[in-house]
Amino acid sequence: MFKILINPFEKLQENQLLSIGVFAMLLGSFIGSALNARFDGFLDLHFTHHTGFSTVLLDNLINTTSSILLLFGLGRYINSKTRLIDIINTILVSRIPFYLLPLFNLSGIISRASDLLIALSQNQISVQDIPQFTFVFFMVFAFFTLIAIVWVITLLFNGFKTACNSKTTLHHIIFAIGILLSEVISKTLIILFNVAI
Amino acid sequence: MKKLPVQCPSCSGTLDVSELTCGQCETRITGSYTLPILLQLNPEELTFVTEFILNSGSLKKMAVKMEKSYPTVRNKLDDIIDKLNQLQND
Repeated sequence: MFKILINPFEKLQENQLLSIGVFAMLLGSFIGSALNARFDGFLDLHFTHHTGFSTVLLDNLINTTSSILLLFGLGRYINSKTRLIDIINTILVSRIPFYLLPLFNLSGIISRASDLLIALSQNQISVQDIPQFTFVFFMVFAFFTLIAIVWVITLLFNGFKTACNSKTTLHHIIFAIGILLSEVISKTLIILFNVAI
Repeated sequence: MKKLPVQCPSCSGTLDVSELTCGQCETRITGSYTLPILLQLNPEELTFVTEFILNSGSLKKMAVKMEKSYPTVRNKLDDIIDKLNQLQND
């Protein structure tokens, strides 16, 4: 079971992975819009006070499309037999842990905590003004966010490795550069084309 | 079933065939014969090649049969092709 969670690409067939990935993106966009979360970058998640389904879905479409094209190009460079469907599945499935994170904002607590921390950083309030529970909840959220990021990167790594049979250190460096570039490109595109909240 | 050793347990070098015996009359032939490259694959790889042929070279069929994804099976085949090329060049 654990192996399936960190490397579903080894066993699951492409149609199963595609169905899971597309369903997860739609569900993730719905969860994000319902709980005011924006996926405004390939490895980004921010909470706002109001957002809509179409905005969050467009975030996810930009994130996935830009990273699919970039990683497919890099995958082809590593191995000419790399298939587009395997990269699509890698990107779609690897984002699932991110889609779960907005659930922490069920009562808007993360949005409020973010506002308080921003106010604190701008010296508008003091530490004593922030409820202890908010601090604890934020720490718990930060912990699960870290787990989600590690999970996402592990899924990306395993999916990319399976898709293009990457093995060498150079291949791993290319993968890391691809992930960083995906973040930069998707973030830029979202700023340019999806500023509406 | 006994596994055919293809690597020297002492120095890891490739083993040659030095004796062949007829199962019926026990006639023995001695000499030095190089193992065909397919037989130099390990048992797992040889099983994979056999399955590949039995499935008419369809990796998709093999993937379903082996309960693995298509790219996993294709990567295994690519690794075996690399190994065979290496054995052929040695």
